[in-house]
Amino acid sequence: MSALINDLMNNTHEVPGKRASLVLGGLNNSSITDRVCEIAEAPTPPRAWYIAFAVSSSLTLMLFGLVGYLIFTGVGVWGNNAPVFWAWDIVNFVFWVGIGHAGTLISAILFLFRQNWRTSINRFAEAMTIFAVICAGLFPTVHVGRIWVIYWLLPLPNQNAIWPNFRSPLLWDVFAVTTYATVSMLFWYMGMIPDFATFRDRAKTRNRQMIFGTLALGWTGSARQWHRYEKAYLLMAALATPLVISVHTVVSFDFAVSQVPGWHTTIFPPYFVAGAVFSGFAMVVTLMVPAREFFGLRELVTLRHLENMTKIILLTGTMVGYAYAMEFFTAWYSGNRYEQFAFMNRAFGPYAWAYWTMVTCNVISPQFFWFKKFRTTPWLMVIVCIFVNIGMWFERFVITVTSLSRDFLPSSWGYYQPTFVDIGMLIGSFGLFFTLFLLFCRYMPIVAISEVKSILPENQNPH
Amino acid sequence: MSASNAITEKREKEHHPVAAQPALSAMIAEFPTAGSVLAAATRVSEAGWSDWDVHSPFPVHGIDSLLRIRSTKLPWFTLTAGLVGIVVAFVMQWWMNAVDYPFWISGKPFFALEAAAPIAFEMMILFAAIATIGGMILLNRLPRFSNPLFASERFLRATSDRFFIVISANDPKFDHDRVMQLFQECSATAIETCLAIDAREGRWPSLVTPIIVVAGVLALVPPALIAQKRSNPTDLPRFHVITDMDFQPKFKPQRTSRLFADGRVMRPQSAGTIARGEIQLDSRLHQGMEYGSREVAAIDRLNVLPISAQGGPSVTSNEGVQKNPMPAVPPPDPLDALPWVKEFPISVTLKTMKRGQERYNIYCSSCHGLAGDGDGLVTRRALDLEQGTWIKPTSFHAENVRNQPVGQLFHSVTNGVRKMPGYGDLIPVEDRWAILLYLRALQQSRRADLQDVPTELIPSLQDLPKE
Ligand code: HEC
Repeated sequence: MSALINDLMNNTHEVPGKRASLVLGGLNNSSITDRVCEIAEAPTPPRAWYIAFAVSSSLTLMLFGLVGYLIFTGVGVWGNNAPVFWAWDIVNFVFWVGIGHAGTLISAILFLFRQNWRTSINRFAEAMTIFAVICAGLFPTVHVGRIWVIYWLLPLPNQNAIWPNFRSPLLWDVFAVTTYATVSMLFWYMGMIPDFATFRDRAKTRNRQMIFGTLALGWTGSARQWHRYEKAYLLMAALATPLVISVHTVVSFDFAVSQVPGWHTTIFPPYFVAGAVFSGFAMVVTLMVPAREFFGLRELVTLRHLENMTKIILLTGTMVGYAYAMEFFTAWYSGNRYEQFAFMNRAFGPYAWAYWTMVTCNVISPQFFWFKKFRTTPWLMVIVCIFVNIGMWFERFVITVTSLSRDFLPSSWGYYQPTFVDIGMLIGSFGLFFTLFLLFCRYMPIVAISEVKSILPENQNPH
Repeated sequence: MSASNAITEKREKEHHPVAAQPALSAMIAEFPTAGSVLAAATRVSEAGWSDWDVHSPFPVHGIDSLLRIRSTKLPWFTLTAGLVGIVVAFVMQWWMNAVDYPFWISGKPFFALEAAAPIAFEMMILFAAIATIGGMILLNRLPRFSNPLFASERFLRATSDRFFIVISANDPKFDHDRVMQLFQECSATAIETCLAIDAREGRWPSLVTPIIVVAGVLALVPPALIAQKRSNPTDLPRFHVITDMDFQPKFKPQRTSRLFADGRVMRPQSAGTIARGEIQLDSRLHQGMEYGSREVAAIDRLNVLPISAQGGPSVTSNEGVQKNPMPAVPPPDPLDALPWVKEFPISVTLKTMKRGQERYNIYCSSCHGLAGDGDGLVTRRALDLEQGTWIKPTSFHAENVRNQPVGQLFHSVTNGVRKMPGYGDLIPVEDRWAILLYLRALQQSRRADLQDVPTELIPSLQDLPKE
């Protein structure tokens, strides 16, 4: 990996006394391997893991129950109804896809920008991407109603002899999200191949040998393998970077290509991408802080890593705040009465409570990260980040529901209210996300072992 | 060094108790740090070895040139697959939406680059990513689950914290002692020899083969079923796993069902009931008969209908009718005796008249002609084609039609008369009366005097053709 990080470009040099080291506690090749592998090799995980798993897996069961109820009864069990036909299903979808984007950003974009510090957190973040995309995919999947013909979304020959409509942004979304899920999964897996080989070679039982032996594909870490592997990694990063931007752009097209006031704006793509990175990083921090405590990774995921992430949150949060202001400006400047109404209605209409929750959480709360204390105290970070996540969920709610509940025809205005199924499925999706995440923490290499080793000072190129 | 050699010898014995000495596959030297392996690799490279490799837990830089690794072809895989993805996406979208199943969506073109671009972009990335990772795996000759190197316990640390130089026995210069000496000069911390895997050891676990065979056979079942179905067309309805709305548990018109004693799914109205909105209290308006008169109460509507439908000679003899559609002396009609209204039960205004004209032209003129002479377009066409079953409609100017009370005409229009079907279901009751009002005006127009014309309109009459 560090072949790309030549001296000219590297701005993350270890300058003694200036920056904290990326790996603390004097960890070396052996102890890093032990530290990470022992999490997965330990006969039992920490007690906190059991508690968290019990909670999240029961929530997952509830989610599956509600999904079954929805499939057997119909989408009418949700609160969606005229005029708000898109409600929490789309809100949750955009929310979760957005969360996922931080993972790709860390693994691909920071890689291209030669940010060495990503190595300790990228595996985490990539896993989070995949689990978030799974949660995201669930909602549009069940919202089609007749889920058994969902393959109609794909260009597959079917007995009706018709094809999907490629001129619809919703179909672009199908392609964008499935591509994103596939590529993220491949990238994640490719990143893990050397670590699976480490697991395989340390395996004590036949089962672990078989499982990790299969997953590692016979990796031996030869220089020839590494040569192609690094090239592949670079190419994947170069592919994933435009991909992640395109995915949230296409998600924003679902709204922007329509004509509903408050949706039909060109600012949506960049604004959505910034929001996605913002919420995703908040989620990474929220997960990372407890995980590094419980699994003893404080020396690998250091305060410097966390602080870097809070800085990104501060930056993207400010961008999101700018976008909110810009939306009002555009509405006013456009001279379009419907557009102007849509925004006045957001801020002062029946959903004003949601709008101001969003502004408080998304614009004001990240500003605390101007203070060093907030950037370096883990629990303070987590609090701010939870607010950010709440705010970003509300952002999608405000965009989706306020615009639909009051569009062109006052005679068809309405007020959307969720049902218990809506609420249960949102909570349940968190359960699913955390269940997958906890399983990942327990059984997989949660830190990219080989990548962290490559940035250790002792392993730096001797010449 | 000697200690590690001893271990190696011992392992060889363990693995191959029978002395059929297997071929030497490679020799391995272990190094503790990236720096030391790099230094050693430099020596090996300078000594001119060709078939050797360095194994490390992370990529050690500077080794590629020592091993003379040529830059990988992988980027070409990526580029090609990306281009293929773009082309496939464009062709697919164009073919599916513009050729095979073109359908209009809000006036958009069937195919446009702009709308096709997002999917082309995604498919480019998808294809390129799959090719990149697939290419990396294939070029690295993976998956390769059995490797002579894995027999060495020591070598397993290559993925954790040790660095190894491996010289293959395939190298033309290979010789056990020479390699041993070279490694010792490089100050390796351990040296081992690796034996070629004997064929039995390199095999998969015994369960894998049957699993693959069973899975492969099962995978053939769906395509076989599809092929079988495709080659045997059938008239039966399609097989539906989930019936959706194609088959609904409901009765369709004109079907039968054993649920009802009479087998009809279309249920007659229950006796003594009136359907919603169907109550017809005003007999003058709805039946064209005097309200309150005894006779009305005596008439059963259901009895009247068959009489009107069967009566008249036209049904029995089409031949005669066609030549002479107006029977000279109609037989006495039981309907004549009924108490028909003679006045219009709706208000007679110019507006109603206009409405009647409009409705008449829509509903009646096609058969009866615009002026009511029984020469509408449908009639003329039918007579031209010499349609045997066609009956020329009665002229409204005929004596017997003129003399009929308006209530009786209303009855004819509502319930039909002889060959003419009833229009009661199609035309609301007020409109039927309006049509009759206009019909009366048409009749009047043939017999009017000059004094019937309003004085201010008399001058315009001069344009009419003189009789
Ligand atoms: C499909 C062609 C057709 C249309 C449309 C049609 N009629 Fe007739 N109508 C006939 C025919 C044919 C007869 C003669 C029936 C017979 O003698 O068997 C007839 C007879 C009549 C008679 C009866 C005359 C008599 O001898 O008592 C009246 C009244 C009449 N039509 C009025 C109307 C009115 C009013 C309309 C428009 C609502 C109308 N018809 C529409 C074909 C039509």
